[in-house]
Amino acid sequence: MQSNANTYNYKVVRQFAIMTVVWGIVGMLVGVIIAAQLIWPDLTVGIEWLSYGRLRPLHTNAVIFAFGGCALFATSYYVVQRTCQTRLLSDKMAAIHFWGWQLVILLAAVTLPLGITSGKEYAELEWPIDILITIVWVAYAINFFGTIMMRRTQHIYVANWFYGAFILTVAILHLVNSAAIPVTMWKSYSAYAGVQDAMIQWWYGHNAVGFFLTAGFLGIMYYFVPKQAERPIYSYRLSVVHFWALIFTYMWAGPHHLHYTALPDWAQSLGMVFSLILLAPSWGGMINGIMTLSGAWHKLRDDPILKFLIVSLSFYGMSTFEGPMLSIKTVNGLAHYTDWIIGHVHSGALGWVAFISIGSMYYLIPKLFGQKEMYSVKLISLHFWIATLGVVLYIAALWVSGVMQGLMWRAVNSDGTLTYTFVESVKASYPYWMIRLLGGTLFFSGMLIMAYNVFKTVAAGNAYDAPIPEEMSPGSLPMPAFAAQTAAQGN
Amino acid sequence: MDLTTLRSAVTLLSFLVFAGIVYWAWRAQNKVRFDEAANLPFLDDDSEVPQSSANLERANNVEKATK
Repeated sequence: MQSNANTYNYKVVRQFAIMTVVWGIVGMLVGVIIAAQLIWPDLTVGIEWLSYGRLRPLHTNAVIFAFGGCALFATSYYVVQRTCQTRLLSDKMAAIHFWGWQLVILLAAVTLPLGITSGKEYAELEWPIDILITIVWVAYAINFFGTIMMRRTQHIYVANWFYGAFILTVAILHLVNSAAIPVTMWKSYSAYAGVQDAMIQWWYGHNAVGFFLTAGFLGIMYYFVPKQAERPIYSYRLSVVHFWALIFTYMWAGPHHLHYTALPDWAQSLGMVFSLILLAPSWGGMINGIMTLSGAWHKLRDDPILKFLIVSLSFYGMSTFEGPMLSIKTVNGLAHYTDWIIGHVHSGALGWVAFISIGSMYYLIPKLFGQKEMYSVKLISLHFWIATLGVVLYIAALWVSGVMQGLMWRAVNSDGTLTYTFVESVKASYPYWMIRLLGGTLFFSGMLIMAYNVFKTVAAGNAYDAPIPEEMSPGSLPMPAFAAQTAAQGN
Repeated sequence: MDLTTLRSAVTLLSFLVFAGIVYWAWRAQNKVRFDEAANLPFLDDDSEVPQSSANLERANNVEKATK
């Protein structure tokens, strides 16, 4: 262990970074398959394990918790060590976290196609897996916050605040929403009933968006954008206000998923108002990230990693504008249950979450394997353009089909009967579903290019663990308070 | 106290706390500590990332600001 004490624990970062790419490919492949199933329902020749209803939760779980999760874990372990200038609290706990999480993913990949589900969106896994998730998460939390407590720097960098909020909030969300009464080994029923169950589900669901898919990835943004742009964040003060504003407001936005349901009207309005307020912190964060490039815009021209990071912020701004608009009851009346919502989700999930993850992985992977940069920068560029084209096709197609479906469903004849049958709206959607499939396939192909590039980079290098600086370089400021005092007395 | 009053009080209190955070963030006295924190990612730039001129310039600026 003595030899380890002088280096950062990059092993767990490497493990999660590689699995980010692997699970990204798996999750997105399932996405492409279910997009094709919408067009050709008999694609999987009636095999029940591969039916749309079973593959869809597999897709969402794989991309959010396997791909997104691994990206968050890899980057958070890297950032917390480097900005605290200390090795992780425990290598063993890091290993428990990595292998435990892979086991969770594996169990999800087996149980969901078998039809074992608790039926709660984005929380489908049954109770034994939920307990395993809890144990793994506790190991993660102790390790992360323990490392912060052992830090050699005076301040806690803002990225760690975002990661910390993500870890803490997801723990609470998981515990409350997954409360269930087990009936058998693989079947349980929610501890809540009726509209309360629905409200808790969407309190969980929207905060999974807010704290898993937003706060965590903002942690990535606050470290990797300044690093890749080689300049500090545009306004650290804004980042402090951004953090607290986001924390204050996200918690209350969940009811917008339940407009025009049995949920009391006041709760729906509350959810709508808080969703509208959310625009301010979201855009504050986006502006802070993009303006970091101020005075160095030329870097964007020939640095494809920076392109991934900055374009992810543009998509973040776009989807966090679209979100509040969709939460307005009258707009929601048109958009809810249509493809528009799926388009909105993917502008966030592909454009924001996946782009910033991919960008940070391209930054991280060479450093973890003792390389200066990725095997091919040209291939990163190719990946960027293919992925961008894919997202744009995907979301534009679903905007059109979503609005079309909304209008067709609400159209009534003068005698009060519906103008269109439901199946007519399905038929009218086919061309757009084709374009969506094309967009998704392009995005998936980009991941394959990434996998090749990562493989070549890893093959050319060796696992590398960076040393922890012995002492702070002269003139650097964040030294512990006691050291600063001693220095002052010396003068 | 009836529940509605309590709810209003909590809303008002949350707003005041938030206003306090904004004041704290923009207080001139706190500028240096935030500048220090903003530079944390660049503290240990080792051989992995070559020192760019922008980095050196920034390091010098911070040094001046604290003297």
